Amino acid sequence: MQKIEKNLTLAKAYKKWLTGLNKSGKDHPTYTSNNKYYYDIVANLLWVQKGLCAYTEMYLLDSKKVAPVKWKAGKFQHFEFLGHLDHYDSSKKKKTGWEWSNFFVVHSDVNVKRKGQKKVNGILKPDNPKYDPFYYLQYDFKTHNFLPNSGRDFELQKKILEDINTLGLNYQPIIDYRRDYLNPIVDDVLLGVLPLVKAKERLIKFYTAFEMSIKSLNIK
Amino acid sequence: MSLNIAIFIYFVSMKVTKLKVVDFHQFKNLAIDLTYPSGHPKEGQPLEKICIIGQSGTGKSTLLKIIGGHTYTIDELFKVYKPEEFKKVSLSKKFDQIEVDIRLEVNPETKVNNYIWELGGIKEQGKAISFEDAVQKQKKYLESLKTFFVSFPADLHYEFEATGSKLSSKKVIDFAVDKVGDVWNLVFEEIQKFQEEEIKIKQEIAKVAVESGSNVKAIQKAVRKLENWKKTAENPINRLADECLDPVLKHINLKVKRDFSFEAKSDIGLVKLEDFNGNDVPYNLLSTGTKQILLTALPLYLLKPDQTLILCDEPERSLYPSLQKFIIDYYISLTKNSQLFFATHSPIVASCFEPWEIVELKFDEKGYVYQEQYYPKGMNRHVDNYTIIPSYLTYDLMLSKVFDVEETHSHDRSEKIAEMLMLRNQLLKFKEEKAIKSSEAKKIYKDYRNLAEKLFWNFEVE
Repeated sequence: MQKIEKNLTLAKAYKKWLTGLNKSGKDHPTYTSNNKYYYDIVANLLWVQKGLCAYTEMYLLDSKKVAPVKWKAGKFQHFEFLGHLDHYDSSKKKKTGWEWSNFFVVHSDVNVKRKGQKKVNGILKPDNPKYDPFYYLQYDFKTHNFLPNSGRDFELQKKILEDINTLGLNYQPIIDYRRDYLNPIVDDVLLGVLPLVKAKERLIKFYTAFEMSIKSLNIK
Repeated sequence: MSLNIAIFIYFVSMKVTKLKVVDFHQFKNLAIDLTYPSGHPKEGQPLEKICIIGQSGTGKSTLLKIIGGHTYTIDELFKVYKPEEFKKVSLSKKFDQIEVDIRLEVNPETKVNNYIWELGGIKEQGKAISFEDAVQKQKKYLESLKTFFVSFPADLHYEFEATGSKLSSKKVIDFAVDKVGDVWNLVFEEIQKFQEEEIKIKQEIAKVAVESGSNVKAIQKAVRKLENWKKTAENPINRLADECLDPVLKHINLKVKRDFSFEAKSDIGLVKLEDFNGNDVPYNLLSTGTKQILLTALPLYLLKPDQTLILCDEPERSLYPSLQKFIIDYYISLTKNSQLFFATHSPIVASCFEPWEIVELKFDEKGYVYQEQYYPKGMNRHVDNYTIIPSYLTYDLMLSKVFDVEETHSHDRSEKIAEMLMLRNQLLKFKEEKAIKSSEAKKIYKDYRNLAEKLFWNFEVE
């Protein structure tokens, strides 16, 4: 799970609307994908998320498709995308369902099959200024599981593990995709047929798992 | 150019080399090659066994019915589809070295099914031959065959009733309508003859004993005759048990009951089974899976299919996984020079096939069915180019790579694996801090081992 610099610089119309909404002090209108700012939010998020699922780093779309040059007057047209718009803290959906800080675009299976309405501890929030994947997480390259960093207090590790599970980081099909994608690349690096720099250039997803694997395998 | 000829049941006698469906409901431009690929010793020859897999609704059973041709199975299709819809369905078939392209045409008035031989498509060893020559050769070929076609539908009736129909004289046997019980007739006469012979010799002994009771030598001679007869005469029940049923029944702790008397046909009914302790197991108490085995294995064994087209829909029905693994090779062992088609939902059954023997049907984005190829796009259909080889895969991989099942284990297992690895990391931390013998470490170690055991974790110690 990468750290995300969640700048709201593209969806300007939505930003203006949200500012007004928050100033009014009233509850947000009911959350629905029919809202006129829905695709603006999704496109802005996909740009800052580099086209990946915010939690699992599964590939969702080529981020060039939502690049700043594709926007017109702070709006983005309706478009097809893989994934769902997720409310990180689902308890906020009712009253402040349009809050930017609570939104992420995620892989649809993560939303439907793992996270749903489950409560998160909030330790792993990719846009939290204090979030650092290397501080909270480590990667087991043998099993391709994300684990709590064993350097942290054991009680904190247990909470991190709960969030790992809720956010679908170790959802089995995603582990399989991650393994199938990373193993041949890491193997090529280990065999010396692919320089590490080239391997990094080749990556289009699972950056965090790759970096952690390289680190744990002591590849330089 | 084509010629309209009614060849009726002869159509089904030939092995299928290609199936082409230009436009038929969910099938559009589907062309399935059913020959061995290049690089194979049997390159270009019809496949001997084929496994059709695919999501429900992709048309596995429909394809079997189309391949079945002029039988009850395809009549079932006519109840649902209009005759003209079959115009864009064609099969390439092969007998001896002759290959013909055939399509089905139904006369909407008479409802008679005709099979159209595409004249340009008749070839012998790759060279075009005349229609007349091909028909003559087909006639000779058919005369040499006993049974052309056997079909086991998915909804096989489990009753073993017999109608007295002589299946031995039938060229096309479709167990959607034919009774499996009738196969017993094929062996009944043989059993009866064997028994009559035994009774006759026993009666001779009795006669000698009555007529010349004091002549021990005469009695001994009569008894020796019985012993010699027993040594040389082959008990058909023993043969049936040894060659057909016992090899499969042993998987379910049953065997054929060999020593019992037949006095009348009604006493026989069906081959009798017993458990390993000698207790009789009546037919009505047999499990569905056991009945399924009897009802498919017996016909195959007794009909002795040779050059036969055999269709079997869902061979895995009611069978335990270990038996599913066994059943395909077992069925094939009961046949000779035949072509067997199976349609299945079982990854275990599918794992018994070579990649070129699997026809995996999938829906494309528009909802049409296509065949998933197991070699990269743009590559030739060559044995070396196949990238999915079922016999190389674990059942987990069969599920994920062939059957496209994304989750091959539960969320619980995923979560518990991560928990176990976390506990292990914590133990390594204790080790580093030289606290591995602390009470806290001991507690974590206990939890870790307990969880690892429940997960059947494969420890790979480096």
